[in-house]
Amino acid sequence: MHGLETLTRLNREPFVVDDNPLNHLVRDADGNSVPGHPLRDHPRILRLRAVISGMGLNGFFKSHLYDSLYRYADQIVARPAYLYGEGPDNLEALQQVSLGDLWERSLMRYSRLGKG
Amino acid sequence: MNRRQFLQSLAALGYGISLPAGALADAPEAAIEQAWETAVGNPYTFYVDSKGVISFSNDQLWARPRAELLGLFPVTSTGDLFDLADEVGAFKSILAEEHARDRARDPAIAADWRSWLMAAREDTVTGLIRRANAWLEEIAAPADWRLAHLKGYTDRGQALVFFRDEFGFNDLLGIAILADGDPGSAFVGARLQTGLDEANLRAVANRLPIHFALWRC
Repeated sequence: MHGLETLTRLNREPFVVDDNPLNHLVRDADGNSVPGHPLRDHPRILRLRAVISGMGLNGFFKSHLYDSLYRYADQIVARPAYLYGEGPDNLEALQQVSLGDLWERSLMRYSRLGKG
Repeated sequence: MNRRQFLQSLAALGYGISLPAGALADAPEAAIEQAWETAVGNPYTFYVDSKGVISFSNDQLWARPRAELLGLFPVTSTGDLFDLADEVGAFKSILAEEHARDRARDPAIAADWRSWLMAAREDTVTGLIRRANAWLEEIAAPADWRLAHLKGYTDRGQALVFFRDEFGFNDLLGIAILADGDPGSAFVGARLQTGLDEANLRAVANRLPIHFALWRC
């Protein structure tokens, strides 16, 4: 756990570079700046980003996978490293949780509250 | 209102209604009503930011490259350049600018950028591919976030889709749909205009199993 905390702290080195105007972004609705995720360049997250980049998925699901990657980044870096066949790898876990979230929201959408 | 379908969704979400999701499909109306009462007491929560924009989640937004936000592929060929231009108008403008610059140097080249790109020399295409991939890796700008919202790729965008296409009580709760895609508009999304307390009161008064909470609270 101590090792994880150290790794997390090291990876909290800011992704946002202050002298780069592209990183001083404004959220379109409320004007807040949007920072980079502190675990963005963690080796596990970096590896998953590279894998997702090459996956032949449609834009929506691909975007959603990246969304989940950052949403659950702290849990992904804390997962145990399973041997082959011992448990789901990080990509599999990410896809499962992403599909689960999408499924919940789809149910909400297709519930057609008020228009059934 | 299709209470049965809505209750099924709440059951699947684990919102503790009194009938399992499978049983709801064949349950008698009295049981549906009873389950609805339970759902009303345990509503689904949406999150509303300081400007009133509704989101499906309470999660922090993180800066991301354009390719990640919009789920775009790296570019490796002329065909990919066309695909990217068709997918994102901003990149089409970049190609059009490159074409205009090239044509200013050589008026003999094709007048439209598509024909120019089809006939472009290998070094020109290589340069455009390099530029496209650099553009994809730039951090997403507000215009990209707006596009992602409109496409329903973000939590806010998914809420926009839900309230625009499915929800039948926007007028009652004071929800406005801001999705015209006007580049000059401040933002896009489903916007709660009545305020949290008022909207929640109206939801309760009309027995809707839906609740609004402050985003990032």
